[in-house]
Amino acid sequence: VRRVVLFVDDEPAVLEGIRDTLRKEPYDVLTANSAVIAMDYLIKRRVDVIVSDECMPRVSGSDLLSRVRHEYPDVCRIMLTGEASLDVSVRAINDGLYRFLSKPVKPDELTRVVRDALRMKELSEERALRPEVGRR
Amino acid sequence: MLNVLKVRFKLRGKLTLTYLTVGLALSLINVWSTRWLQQRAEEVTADRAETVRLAEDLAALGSSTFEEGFAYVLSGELAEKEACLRKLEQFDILRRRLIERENIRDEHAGVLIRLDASTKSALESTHRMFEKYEVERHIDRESFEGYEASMDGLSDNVQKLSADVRRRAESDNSAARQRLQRVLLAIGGIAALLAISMGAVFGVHLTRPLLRLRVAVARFGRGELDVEPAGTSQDEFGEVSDAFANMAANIRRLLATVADQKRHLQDVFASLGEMLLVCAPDGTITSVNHSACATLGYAEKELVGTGIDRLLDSVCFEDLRQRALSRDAHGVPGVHDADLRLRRKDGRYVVASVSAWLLRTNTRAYAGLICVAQDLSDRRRLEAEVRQAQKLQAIGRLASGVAHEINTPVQFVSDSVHFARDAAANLASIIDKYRAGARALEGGVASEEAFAEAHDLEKKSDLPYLLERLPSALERATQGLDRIAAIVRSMKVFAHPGQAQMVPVDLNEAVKSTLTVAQSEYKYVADLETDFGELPFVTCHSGEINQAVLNLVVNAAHAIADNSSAETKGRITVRTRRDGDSVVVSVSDTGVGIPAEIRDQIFDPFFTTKDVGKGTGQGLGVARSVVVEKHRGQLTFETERGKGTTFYIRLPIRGDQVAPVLAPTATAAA
Repeated sequence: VRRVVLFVDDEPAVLEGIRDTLRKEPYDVLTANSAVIAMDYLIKRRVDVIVSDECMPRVSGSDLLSRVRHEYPDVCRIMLTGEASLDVSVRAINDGLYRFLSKPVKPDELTRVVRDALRMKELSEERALRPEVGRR
Repeated sequence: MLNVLKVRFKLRGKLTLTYLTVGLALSLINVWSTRWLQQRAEEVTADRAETVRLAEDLAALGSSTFEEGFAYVLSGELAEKEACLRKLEQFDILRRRLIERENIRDEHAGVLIRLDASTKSALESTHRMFEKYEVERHIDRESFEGYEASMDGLSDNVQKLSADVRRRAESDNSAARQRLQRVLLAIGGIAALLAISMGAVFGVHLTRPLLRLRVAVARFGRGELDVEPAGTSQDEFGEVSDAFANMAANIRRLLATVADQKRHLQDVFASLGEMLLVCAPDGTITSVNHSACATLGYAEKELVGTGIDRLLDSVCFEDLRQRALSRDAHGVPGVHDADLRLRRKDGRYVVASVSAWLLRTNTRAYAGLICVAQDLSDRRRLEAEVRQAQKLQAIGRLASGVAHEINTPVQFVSDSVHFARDAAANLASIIDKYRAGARALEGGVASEEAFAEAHDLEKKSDLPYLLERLPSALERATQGLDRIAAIVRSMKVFAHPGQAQMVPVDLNEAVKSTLTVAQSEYKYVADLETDFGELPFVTCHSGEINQAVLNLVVNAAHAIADNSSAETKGRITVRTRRDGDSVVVSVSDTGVGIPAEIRDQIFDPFFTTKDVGKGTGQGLGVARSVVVEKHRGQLTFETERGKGTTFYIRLPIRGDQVAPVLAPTATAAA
């Protein structure tokens, strides 16, 4: 089963660029132009990692990730933002964010961070399947 | 008690007593001397009267003796004879008594001698006649006639003496009266002398303190305020002296108070930081304070007495006066001009806010104008500093938005370039393979292998994807770079350092830049709609106008963000239009609107409804300062609760011709 990574950004060009960058990665890349569309995807499909921009119309990235944390706690959350104020960053990190990335992020780094996130996700899923192992 | 008496014994008492004493003394002298004189006169008169009485008695006795003698001779009765002799004796006794009287002998010596002789002869003739009668019992005519003659002589002399004595007494009386009159005259003269000398003494006594007082008053009148009248007495002069001293002390105290108050007023006048110019009704300056002199560069005496009009630039005294009068008539005191230019001595100008009030006397009469002018140079500088600070603050806040706006395109430009580089590398290696195949083909060696490798590589690198996506990636990169360039350019335009002079500006371009720079402030809450009309170049400080527009746009974005009921994005509409000699830039939002109760305050500095840390309350204040005060434009707004607000910036096209030239005014070093 291929993993699914959902990118959320109000800027289509950013999504296009990411799609091009990650075209060879062994997971599906989904893109959503807004938080509303992202929530729609989350309802309809399984998503392993969500990477969201902060500054977006109506629902901001941190609000979206906060909702994801409550409604889909298994989804690994990453923030990728051009410039976030201190309180947004602090709030996001206190929300148990996996990573906080600043634009512009280098393609290699983005690739590595998403891979790491997926590996961590796999590990935690394995632990969840074999609770006794986790305890030991 | 004695003291009380002494105090009570005042001039009135002294005068009264003196006059009483003098009067009494004069009366006593008068009465006593009159009585004494009268007594003396009475004594003399009584003495004279006695003498007269004696003389008259003598005369009467003389004639009765003669009758008795005559009766005896006629009747022969002895009794008659004895009576006659007895009377003769009495006559002699009387005569002696008369002669013995002190004063008579000297005064009537002649008559007495004759009386003496005639008495002797009368006695002799009587005796002789009686002897003859007793002898002859009859009397002859001759003897009788001799008797009669001596008796007549006696009677004559007695009569003469009596008359003499009476006459003498009368003359004595009149002499006594004359003496009395002389004495009274002398007493009157003495009394008059006494009165005059006492008057003189009192005059001196009275006038000395008066003189001293007069000198003191004269010196006081000449301004020697510390004069004390020398010497004090307990009488009215003392009281007047004391009263004068009191009065002088009161006047000194009053003058000191007045001087104190005057000094205090002068201190207030001098210490007042604002320029104060007091004008006579004709506009002549009557007084100025230090601040006015220092700010305008004049010495006080150069201003006082000259017309205020030479200091005024755009108004004249008459204008101020008329307006003040007409406003006063409507019960509004004073005229206030926010920005007047005052001409300094060196020809430069000071921008000042000038207030003028009618100067009224305590009877409400018009007595000129009081002008208070506040040098706005410092305030202008301060406002410029506030504007600059607000600008920096705005830029600071914009910086994160701008960073976002730049980083986002950098992100996809970078991605696209990476992609393009990868694609180019892949294409290069594919082309290499094909070219190797082609070279082999040319060399006659048909190498299926070479083309197969190329095909493999094509498949591996997903050539169709690369070919399909490469142009769009490059297009994205180009667009992203354009966006970055645009933002950087706008930033430069927006943050353009303010120039001292106004310059003609393409306002549409300026507004566009501002909107670009500010897009991160609004684009997540609102769609931007622009409607740029055709505008001439507007002479203004573009940097500051940009800042004003930015503040309005940021406020619009906040107003929309606060309008939580809106499910969809709001809309900010920016319009530019020409309107006659002005241009109007309007910024409309679909935000919450401005509550009626704060509409008056929104332009106040530091007034904000935003949370602490979000707003400083300077935005609209600075916008107003820029538009109204710097550009002589107007900043107005229309608002409706829940529907939105539109702000209008109205600027004169030739701002340099309307707005005051803000001359740099270094306050005079003096």
